[in-house]
Amino acid sequence: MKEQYRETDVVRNILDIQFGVLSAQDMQQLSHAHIVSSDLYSANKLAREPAPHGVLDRRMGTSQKDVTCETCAKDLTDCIGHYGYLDLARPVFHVGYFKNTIHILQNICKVCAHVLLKVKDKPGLCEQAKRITSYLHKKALYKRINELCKKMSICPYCGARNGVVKKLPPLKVIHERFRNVKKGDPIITDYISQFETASEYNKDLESQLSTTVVEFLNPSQVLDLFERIPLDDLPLLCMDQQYSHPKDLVLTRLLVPPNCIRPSVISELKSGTNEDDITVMLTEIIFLNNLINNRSTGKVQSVQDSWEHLQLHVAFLMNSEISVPHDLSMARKSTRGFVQRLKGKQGRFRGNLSGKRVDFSSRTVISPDPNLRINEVGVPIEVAKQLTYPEMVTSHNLALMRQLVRNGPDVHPGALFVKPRISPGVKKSLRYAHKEKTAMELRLGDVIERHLMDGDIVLYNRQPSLHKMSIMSHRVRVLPWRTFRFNECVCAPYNADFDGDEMNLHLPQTEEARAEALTLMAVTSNLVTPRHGALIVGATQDFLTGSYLLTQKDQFFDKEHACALVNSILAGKEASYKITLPPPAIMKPKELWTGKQIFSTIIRPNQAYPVACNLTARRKDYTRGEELCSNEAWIVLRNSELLAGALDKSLLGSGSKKNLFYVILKDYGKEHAADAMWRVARVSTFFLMNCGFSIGIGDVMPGTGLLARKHELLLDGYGKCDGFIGQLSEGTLHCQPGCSAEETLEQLILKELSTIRDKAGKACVMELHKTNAALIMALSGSKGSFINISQMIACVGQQAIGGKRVPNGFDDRALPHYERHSKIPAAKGFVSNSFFSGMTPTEFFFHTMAGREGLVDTAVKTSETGYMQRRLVKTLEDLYVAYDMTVRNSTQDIIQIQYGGDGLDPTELEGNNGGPVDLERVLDHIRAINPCTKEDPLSGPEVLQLSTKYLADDAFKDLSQEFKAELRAFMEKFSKRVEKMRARLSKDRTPHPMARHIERLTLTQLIDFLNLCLERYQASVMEPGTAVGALCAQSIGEPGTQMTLKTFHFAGVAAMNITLGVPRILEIINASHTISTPIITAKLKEDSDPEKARQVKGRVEKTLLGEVCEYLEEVFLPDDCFLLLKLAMDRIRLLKLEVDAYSIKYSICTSKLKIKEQDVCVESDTIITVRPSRTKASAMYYQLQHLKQHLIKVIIKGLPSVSRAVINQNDTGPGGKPKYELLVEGNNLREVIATYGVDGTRCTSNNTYEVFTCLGIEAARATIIREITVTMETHGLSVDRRHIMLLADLMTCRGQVLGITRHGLSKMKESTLMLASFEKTADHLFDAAYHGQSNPIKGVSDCIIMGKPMNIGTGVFKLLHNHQREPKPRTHSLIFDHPQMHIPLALGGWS
Amino acid sequence: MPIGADGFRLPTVNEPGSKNKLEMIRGAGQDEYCRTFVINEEDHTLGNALKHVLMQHPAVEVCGYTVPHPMERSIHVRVQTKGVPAIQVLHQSLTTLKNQNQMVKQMIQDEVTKYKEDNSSQ
Repeated sequence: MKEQYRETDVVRNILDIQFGVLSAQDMQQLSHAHIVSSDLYSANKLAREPAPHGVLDRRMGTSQKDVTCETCAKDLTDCIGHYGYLDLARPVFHVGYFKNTIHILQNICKVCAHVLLKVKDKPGLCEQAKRITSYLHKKALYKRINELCKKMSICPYCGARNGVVKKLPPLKVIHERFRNVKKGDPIITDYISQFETASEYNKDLESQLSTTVVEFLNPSQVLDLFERIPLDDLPLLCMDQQYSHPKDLVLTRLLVPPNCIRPSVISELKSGTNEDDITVMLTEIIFLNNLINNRSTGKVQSVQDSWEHLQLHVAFLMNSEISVPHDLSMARKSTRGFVQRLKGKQGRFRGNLSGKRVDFSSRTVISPDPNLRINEVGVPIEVAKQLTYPEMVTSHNLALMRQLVRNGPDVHPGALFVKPRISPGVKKSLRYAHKEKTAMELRLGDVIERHLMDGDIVLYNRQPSLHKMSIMSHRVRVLPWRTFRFNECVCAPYNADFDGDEMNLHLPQTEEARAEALTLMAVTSNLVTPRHGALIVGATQDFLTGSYLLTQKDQFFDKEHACALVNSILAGKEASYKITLPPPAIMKPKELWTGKQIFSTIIRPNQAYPVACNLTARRKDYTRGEELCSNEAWIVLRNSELLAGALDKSLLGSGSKKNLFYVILKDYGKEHAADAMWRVARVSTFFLMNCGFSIGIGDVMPGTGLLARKHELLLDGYGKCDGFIGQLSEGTLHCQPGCSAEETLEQLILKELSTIRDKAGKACVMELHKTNAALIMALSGSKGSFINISQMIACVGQQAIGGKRVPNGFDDRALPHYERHSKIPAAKGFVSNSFFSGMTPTEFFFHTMAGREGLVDTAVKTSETGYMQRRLVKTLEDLYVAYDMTVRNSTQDIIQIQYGGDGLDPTELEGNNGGPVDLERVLDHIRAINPCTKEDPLSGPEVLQLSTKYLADDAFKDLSQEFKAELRAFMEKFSKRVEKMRARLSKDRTPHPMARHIERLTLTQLIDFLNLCLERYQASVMEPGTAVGALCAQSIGEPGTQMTLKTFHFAGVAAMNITLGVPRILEIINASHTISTPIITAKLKEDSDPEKARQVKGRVEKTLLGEVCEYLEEVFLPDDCFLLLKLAMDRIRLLKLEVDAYSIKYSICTSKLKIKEQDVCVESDTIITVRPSRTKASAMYYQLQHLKQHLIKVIIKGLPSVSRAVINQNDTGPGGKPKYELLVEGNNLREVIATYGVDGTRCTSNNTYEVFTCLGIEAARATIIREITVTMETHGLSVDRRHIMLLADLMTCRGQVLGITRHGLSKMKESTLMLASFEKTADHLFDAAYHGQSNPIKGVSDCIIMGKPMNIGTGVFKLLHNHQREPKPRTHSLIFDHPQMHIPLALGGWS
Repeated sequence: MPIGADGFRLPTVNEPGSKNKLEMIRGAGQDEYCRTFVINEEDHTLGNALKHVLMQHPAVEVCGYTVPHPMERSIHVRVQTKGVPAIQVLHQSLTTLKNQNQMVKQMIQDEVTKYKEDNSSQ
């Protein structure tokens, strides 16, 4: 019954798009009407007939419903529209090609129109230009030829002089013929002499001639020049002769677009019609045209003026945003030209071609429903009755379909239309049909557009769609009331909450679309995020609280309650499951079951249920003693039995790999994981409903002990701060390296104050009872953190603005309530009260300041990261894994030889450091599910030997070397462990009874384990076709939204600021040449000696003369005057500066001050004199003053680009010895590497461009990877290294570091459509037309724009089959088909 | 699928209005001694009481009930027994519950009449 799916219209397939420039002739041929009349409507007002030959002529199609087109006689819906043309009275420049027009004029001789290249260079370049196919190379050559031509001032053909051609805004061209010629040169005088007679009669002319001589090139002259360009020179202009000729760049004719794209709207308010901007502009152009034609015998000046107006109007028609001098603006209101229709978010490219409005979709508010399964969505009945799916009637569903038809459009599972098979194209509405009759007349093969029903596949989406999990497919549950509902577990991927969010729903319309949606986009197929391979769907909020409370040690249930809890899962497909309640944990005095037992039963309802998960994990608050940990933070699950530990967010929620559901997913598949998640959700809500969970004011009331402790902490902290402030005023404060005293104080105080809050927080968590609701939520991870608790109960803490204490907004103080220059905690934004105790007015004010900053941050952040995401996606969208496992783009360039270096899919990886398998856990799992009690355990050496032997098997040849090595190392470790245990147990020579059971591994288990590892490895190999680029863009862009903006972090003790967060990511991605905090990390040759380190620091750091000067004096003697410098030798010695008086003299002489060597005199080791120059014109006194000012700024040592260098102490040397390295703030990596004492092979900078210029492209790639990784890590975001590697590889694949910006993009991609849909739409289109570029439809954007399936993912392969064609009929030769009968066109009279 | 006056969904075409009051779920794990019964048009009022009575039955190993979705008016009652078929246990328990209810009703009526008698004299 099912018809085979066919691609629509396979006969015609758009392979590429050819861009070009229309010639005047082309325009005429395209057109159906010649437009001459400036009237819109004919004189007969009542008839409202368009004027014949006017811009609304009906031969160009129609824009009204009741009128048909005069060319094709079709109506509004069917007529595609036809062009008209109008002839311009004078040629005008085309704004779009104006830049190219100027370039061509620069390239050719303004007399003979030859290209200005040396005769011998021409053939070579010409050949090159003809041969180039790549658009990128063509653009580069175009630029190069332009550069070459601009240098030529004498035409090698006619010897004429050529000068600089420039544009004169808005649209004029000037040619400065004699630019580089001196005034008195005979060429100029000759030229001026031509005007002698003219200037006799016109005195103004003379004054003009005396200044620079420029020529205006008007469009007519330019057109004439362009027409005369020799045919052989055309390739040098990088135009495609077939599609574009220079002369077409100057317009002599305009194409009038069809009526349907500029419809006139009959106005309701006033009589008449509202015309489209384009129509209005066209009439204006025709009006001017006619004016010029009529005046052609009139004054030159008035024709000239009209011509200029015509030029501007034509320009506005194309692009209404060109800047016009004020006096010419003609009081225009803003109009929409052609360019404006194309560009921008709402423009044709982004608004209509790349993204379209769709049918079969709906949108409403969302709400939570824990009763729905993970992959379900509750759809309101009103929505279900609107959305339809075309289902074919088959013998299997005939009865149902009949019922649906009978129900009609208004009763829910009903149908809206019937499409009988016998009459294709007919659609019968059931609203007006006889339902019973139609139902009985249903035939197999008819198609019924039925309502949305339970179990249908829909796509569900929430904006912003930042990653692929923002749109997933769900199964429908039609429910009453008006909201979309889904299980809260799925909130995380959509980033949804229920404070009024709305979501969208789309209904796929074919079986193929449903199948693809079901297998690729289902929630169950997207439980794991490709960002770092951890779960993204997971228990949240109440589910966590419930599970945490349920699995506590002190939860006991009698039989009735235990049964009630366990039976709460009996819905949906679990309704039939048998439930085996384990034997009660406590028998007497009453049978009692523990919460852990209940939970275990939920995970595995009966013994036949296949899921036996094994997991050992520890929570963050683990103390010691494994199972005996006092916080119950050691979790042991063995064969789905929870043996120890209370489950919290890290075990049940999203974002972790040591996760219960993740383990089920890995070992038993996605269906089981999703089912388990639903069961946990159901049981925990049921449990919470019965035991109740609420928070009140009592939960945040501090006890007396806590108050006392807080008071004590405050006193202590304030005392310390006062101490620091006192030290500062006395000047005894010990400065930290690289910091001033003030900065040191700020740091110390900030550190002290943050410890106050931390300690207060700890104290209040200690004091809270374990039934405290806030505490339970924080511990279970469902909502709130310890900081939130301590802010509510104990102390709100320091309010930071821009990472610092509140700045002085008033005169020298933050608020007028405090004294000036006060640095005490309270005056700079420390809030000692809690939210419970209430803030004082000043504290409240400080709090609002910090709050406002947060709000501003989020507002700024969203737009910034949104744009970053768009750019990332546009650059990376077409990268995919090809069948040979290389990563390629749509033009088949290789970006990576193997994805991520190992070809593994980050989604599938379980190992913690990027490996495919968590070996420890998998081994435990194998040992637990299959105890092999009858077998004897292997000994240590046996384990090693057998595993090595088994690994050598042919089956394991697919494993990568790295993974094999990892496996081998693990087996070695394990065998040692077995050996050690055996040795310990058999000390007294008799076999210990436990020897068989501890660290037991049998042969079967070993083989199972190795086989499982192989299976897991093979499963995690990347599938060909995967859109790895898109995944990469999403994985880097999406966490960007989670980063708090503009955070400056202190890196270690060195007190060095490095930019982090979104700004840093932007810097790296944009490949900025100057970054805000460049830091060079220089390892030292001798890194254990602080003295040596200081020496190197002296060599690197910029030292000014003023810094080592004791004093600088002017000395005036009767016959002499000079500056006397006294060097501070102590200071030089202390800083380990390698300078003396002579080297300083050298520095002074080589500085910018231009002091002669004999004027500087070294008097002694410490004294230098500098004399003013006697030869200079200015007075000596002023020279002396000038010297005095500038001499202290002379750099005597170090690199000028280095502002600061700090010695950093690492404690990681061998034998605990501290190691020293140099952190250099500033640029110039090359010089730092070359500095004596620096180990040049171990120097890096965080500036990618710097690294690229100094060390090369591979080093730059490594830097990009490292810097992005570091930035992400400091924000606690994990991103798989493969994504970052791919980004870095793409940025560096062209041999230079290209940023993810429009500049970088246009150097990476060739597709014009893709570039046009990104930014600078019009520029790219005009460029492509100029070059006559052909745009193959291969990339993702191209395919979307043309409505073709893209060549990525499931579109990467094609079905090739030989179609049996009918043999071609024999062709008969025609009588007139003979060369003799044809007159060659060139000789004919039509040319 | 119109919404009833009480906010619940009314029966639809797939679930005809003349649905049986009691149904049995078929599926893996279901046998004579382990049954999930669907009682239509009932809620916690019956479910909780019935569960309580079922619990008292000596043959019952595990029993319980749940409301699959609060917007659909049905409950799932699970009875897992030893020795006696589940359907029999359910039948007996329902009878017991009915008797108990009648008894309570009787007691209330008795009390009411007694109260009325006592007070009417005044």
